[in-house]
This record gives sequence, C-alpha cells and structure tokens, in this order.
Amino acid sequence: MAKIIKIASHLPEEKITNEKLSFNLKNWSADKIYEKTGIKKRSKSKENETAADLAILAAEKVFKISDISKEEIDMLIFVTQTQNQCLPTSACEIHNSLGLKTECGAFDINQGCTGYIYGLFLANSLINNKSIKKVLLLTGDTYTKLLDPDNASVSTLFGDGASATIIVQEDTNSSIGSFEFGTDGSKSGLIKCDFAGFRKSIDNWGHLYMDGANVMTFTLSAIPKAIYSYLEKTNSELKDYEYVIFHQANKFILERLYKKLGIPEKGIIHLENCGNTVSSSIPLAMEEFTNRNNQNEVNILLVGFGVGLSWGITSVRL
Amino acid sequence: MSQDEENLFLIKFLDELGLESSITLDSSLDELGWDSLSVITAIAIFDEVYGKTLDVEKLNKCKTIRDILKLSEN
Repeated sequence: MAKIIKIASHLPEEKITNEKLSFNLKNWSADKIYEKTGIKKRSKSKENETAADLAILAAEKVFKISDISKEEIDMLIFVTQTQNQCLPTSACEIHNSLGLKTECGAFDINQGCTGYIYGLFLANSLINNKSIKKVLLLTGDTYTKLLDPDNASVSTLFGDGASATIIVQEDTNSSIGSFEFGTDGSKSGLIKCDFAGFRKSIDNWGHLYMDGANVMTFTLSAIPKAIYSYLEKTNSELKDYEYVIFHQANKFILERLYKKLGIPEKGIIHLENCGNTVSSSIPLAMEEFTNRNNQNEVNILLVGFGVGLSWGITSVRL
Repeated sequence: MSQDEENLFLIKFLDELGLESSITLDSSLDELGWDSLSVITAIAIFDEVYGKTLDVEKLNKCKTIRDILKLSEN
C-alpha cells in the first residue's frame, strides 16, 4: 500500500500583480481581475529558469522536512508540459541535480491540470506492484513563458510553480484511494500551445490558447458527472470526505463547481497568491492544508481537470 | 416563459455581471461592455438556473439579453 509522507513546494520570487496586468489590459482593472479570478498575484520564473529548476528546489525542501533520504528514492516522476528541452527527459536532469542513486528510474509525464492525479496513480500503482518502494513525485510548470501578455483570459490566470511529494510503501496504512480518469480528445484544441512541438514549424508557433467559454461548459457538465461516477464506483458519498480539492483553475469556476455539488463549505480554494499553477495547483493546496490542519487525518477528494481535455479523480488521507 | 421568470433571470444576470438596474432584456450586449468574462458568466447562470449547457456558438450570436434568455427554450 502507498502512503503520502510529505509535500513541499517552490514558487519563484518575482510576482505579477493585478495592478501590473491591468496596465496592459484594456477594460480590466486590478479589482475586476481579483473579483473574477480570485488571484492577487502570480509567480513568474526568471528568463533562464525552467520548470525543472523549480521542481529541484521543491524537492530539496521536501527532503529537508521528511525522514526519507535521497538515497532511498527508487523512482522519480516529473509532471510537466514545459520541459527543459525535447530530449533528454527533464526527469533525468533532475535526477542528476538531486544526486539520486543510479538504481532509480526517472521519467516525465506530459499532463497539465490533471497531471498530479496521473502522478499519484503511477506512484500508487508502482508501489502496489511491489516493484518500487519510494517515489519522488514532482510537478512543475512555467506557463508564464507561453503566454501572450495582452491575452487577458490566460495572462490573468497562470503562474509558475512546482511541488514535490514523497510517496512510500507501507504495510498497514494506505493514504491513497481508487482512481478514475477520463479524456475528451475531441476538445483537445480548447487549450493548446505549439511550443516545442513538431506539428507546426517554429515560425508558426503560437502562444498558449484557451477557449475559456467552451472549457467552462465542459467543466460544468463533465466534472460533476465524473465525480458522481467516482462516488458510485467507490461506494462513497461526498459526506465521506471532509474536504474537496479541485484543480485550482480560478475562483469563479471553483465556486460554481463547489456550489453545484452542494459542498461550498468543503471546497478548498488556494490560488490568491500563486495563480493557476497547472499540475502543481492540487499539491500546493494540499501542502497549505496540511500546514494549517490541526485535526487528525482527514479524507480529501482530489479532482484534476483541464488540458486534454482530461480529468482524473482520487482520494487521499492526510 | 412568464414575466416573473423573465424578470428573475434579468435580475440575476445584472447582479452577476455588476450591471445597472436600468438595463432591460432588450438592451444591446455591445452597449453593456460584453466580453469573454460576460460569456463565461452567462454560461454559469444558465447552468445554475436552468441546469442547461449553453451552446457557445449560439451564445456568441446573441445581440440582446433576451436573445440569451430565449436559448433556455431550446
């Protein structure tokens, strides 16, 4: 069985404030940006700083706060869509920077807002398969490098960041529940970026594009259905979870989703000072929750959704 | 749709978008400063009030608030 031991994160120091954004965006005051997104500032990586660099700093933090040493890690999983380069795999470079042992696997997962759920699924599966005992799951993205600063529908939302989670084999206690995934590839063009791909030539690469309206209709219709399907398959109800953490897309959509599911008091919102950090948004919210949680362990439902379009659901006990 | 239902929709619409109460169902969306956020808000209102998913293409063709309201009848 697999258990989450510790979570840590790293956010770049430089912040993009609403005041700074509103200077470039016609009809968007700083107050309006906050009111609609729930975000006050987003972190921005330096020009030569990559998602892997951020993930390395998050990893160093997680080793500092846990009893697990680097030598014990059997597998490194790095979830990112802003890799260092086409090849080699960024996880291999992180492996070297962290000084992990040679007998440790390392690979990337190209997934966005559902990425952390995929990472947990793989870590959990590898551990339950008894082939691996300790996994370092990293997430990291630098979406600010993909953005057109004049495109308000994306520049007001995304921030850079990374997280690190240590998951270990434990004989008696599992802290990770069942999983459910879904994909609607017919909507893959709704959130898209050409960078570092081969479909288009470099001269024709465009910034990150997001069809906010159609992503909204997808989210409001597909995600509640997926959650009810998960609850049915796991023979559970929403009341069995003390808290719910969705991918932190923006406050507007989170409030709608939590309200639609009738759980506004359980739904955690954590993006005011970091923005939408893509695959790191769920672990950032989990880290913040564990830092302030004085209760005994609680059950939390985790729901990722977005780029793909994809969704993934699991539960954890923290 | 009854007059009361129309009025309730209008009130919710104005409230969610932070618009003045003098605006009517037949006010032009362009004059209201209609933007991408307004579209997303309209989708959310429809989902909440009617339990329906708005067709974004049809929504983008609407000229007035009443045009949007009519989409609830489809």
